[in-house]
Amino acid sequence: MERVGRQHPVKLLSYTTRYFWLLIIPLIRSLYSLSLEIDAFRAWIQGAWLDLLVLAAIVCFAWIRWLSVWFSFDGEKIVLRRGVYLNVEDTVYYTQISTLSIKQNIIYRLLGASKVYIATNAGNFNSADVTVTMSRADADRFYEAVKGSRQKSLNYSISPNKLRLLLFSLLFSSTLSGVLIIIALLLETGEVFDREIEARIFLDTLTEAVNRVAQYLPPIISLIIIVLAGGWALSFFANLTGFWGFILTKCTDCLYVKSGILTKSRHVILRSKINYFDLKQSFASKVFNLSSLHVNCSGYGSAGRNEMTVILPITTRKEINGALKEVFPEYPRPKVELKADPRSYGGFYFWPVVMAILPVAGFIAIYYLLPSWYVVAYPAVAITVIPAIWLAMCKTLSMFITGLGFSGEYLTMRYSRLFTFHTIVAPKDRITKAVIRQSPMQRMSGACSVIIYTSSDVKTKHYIYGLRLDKTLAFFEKNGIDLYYSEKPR
Amino acid sequence: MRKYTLKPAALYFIGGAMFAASVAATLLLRAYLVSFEILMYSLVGLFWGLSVLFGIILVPMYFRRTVIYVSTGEITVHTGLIMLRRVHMKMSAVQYVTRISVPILTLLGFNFIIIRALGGSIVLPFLSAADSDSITDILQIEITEHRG
Repeated sequence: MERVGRQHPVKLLSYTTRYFWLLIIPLIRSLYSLSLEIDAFRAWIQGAWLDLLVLAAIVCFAWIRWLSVWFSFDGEKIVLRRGVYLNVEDTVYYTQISTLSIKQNIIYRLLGASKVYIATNAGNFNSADVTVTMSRADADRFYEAVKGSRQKSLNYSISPNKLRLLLFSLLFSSTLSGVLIIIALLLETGEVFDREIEARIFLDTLTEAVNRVAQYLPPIISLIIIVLAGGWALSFFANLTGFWGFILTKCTDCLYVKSGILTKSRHVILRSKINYFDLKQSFASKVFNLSSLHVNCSGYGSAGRNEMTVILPITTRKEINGALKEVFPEYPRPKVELKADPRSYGGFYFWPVVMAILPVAGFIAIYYLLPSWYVVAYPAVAITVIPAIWLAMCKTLSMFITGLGFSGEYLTMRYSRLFTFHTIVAPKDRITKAVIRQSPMQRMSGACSVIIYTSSDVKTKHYIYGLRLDKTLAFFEKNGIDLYYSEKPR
Repeated sequence: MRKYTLKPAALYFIGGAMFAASVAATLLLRAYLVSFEILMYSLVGLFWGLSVLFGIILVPMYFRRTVIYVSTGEITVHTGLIMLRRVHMKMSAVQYVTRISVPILTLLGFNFIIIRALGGSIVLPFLSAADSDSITDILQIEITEHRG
């Protein structure tokens, strides 16, 4: 049965501009301070008529925009019509949906709204092809309609325990992602409120925190500690609340994922549209033989900020193998045939060395040119060198695991990128492009780097560093990827 | 498998254009910066240095090193300046093809083909018009006929 509806009225808020809030706050404040006399109200109208007119125009335009968008869905497709001056109609058939995501943050839950993200393989960018804000009842109906179009056969369900989720959040939280969340929050609120006010609130809070810690430590060190610790804590909190109550259910043709306490998410992933799976590990989880299972599928992990592509948060190798057997029975176990050449091991340290040299060079320059800054520069260089040492440790481990392997119609890639270790298994038909690259140094030692591009709505590259050129070319040719190695570059 | 190289006429045109641009820059600098001699000579030196670097060394090296292999099943490109690259794309991954020709200069080899796949692309630069037609035909046959 077809259901036709408009978006939830909460969408009106995002259709208004930030000037709306700039106008309405002082207007309400001045109205609130009025005495209850008709003359005072008249005087207020005389003073604020232009603001009220602009406000009415903004609301009117937002309302027209809201009225111009409506959707309809049945058991086969969803149609979204929109446009004030030009009518645009998007039709998405459920068979083409790679990922359907339905999210509800706290405000949406209070107002009974849900944000629906529909992604197909046709998109060009890392975002959903169709995004629509529905009432919760409509979103539930739509979810059931999509679910109804998939095969009905439940054959596997897994929910990691809370301790494991805590561990996952601990290991996968980083200062960088915390800082990115802050930036995203600032940008998002900046759309609504005045950027100056927002910057002032943020800086005032930061200054206050720095002043408190500065009683015990030098201000610059306090600032660094607060940014690092605050960013990490925020990322930890976002991960923990985002993955709380995580449940993965596998059916014949789909994966269903539910998670979150503050923001509740539901995803339906079409298995045939999954480009590859990725076992991710940090240095610590590598040492303890733990990993988390991620998938690359158009739309999964791109519905909103701080999204991850995880389908199984951190777990032991044994459980991962069990889950892989259940969730991806057709995929082989990761196997590496071509490993990094010992003669290329030195190259693994290129970036750690660069990362270490730059702050040390800066420190030497400060030592001679600005000796009075020595006190500040000394701890700063110590802090900035730590990531370089950490990266060097990761690269040392990476030397022994990096490699490539084919098992039938599947390619295994094992490599590290920055501080994360990846083991990826992708069907051969998802390899978009294979590149063999040689730097001048690698040409001298007969080594090369392999860059594999896999199918994705964004450019997805996998760098496998330090392989022997002759072995790599022969390996690819044996597996049906002819790079014409007999034809030497001129 | 068919092998294609870049059209040398495009190389000569680029070299000539760089030479002309350097001469023009020299004349302009000579006319307008004559009272700032050091700056004038520095800029003239910079222009000619870049012309020599690109026109005589880098661009010819790029033209010499770039070879395109096209067969019914795959496209392979050998290219690179400092980094040597062997790029491979399966025909089955191709989503669509963009062909760019620069009017008038098309005879000099300013024909480009961009082959786009889901998550990556390959650019085939400076092809002769005939080579450009031939590659486009192979791609069209592969996409329309072989995929059914």
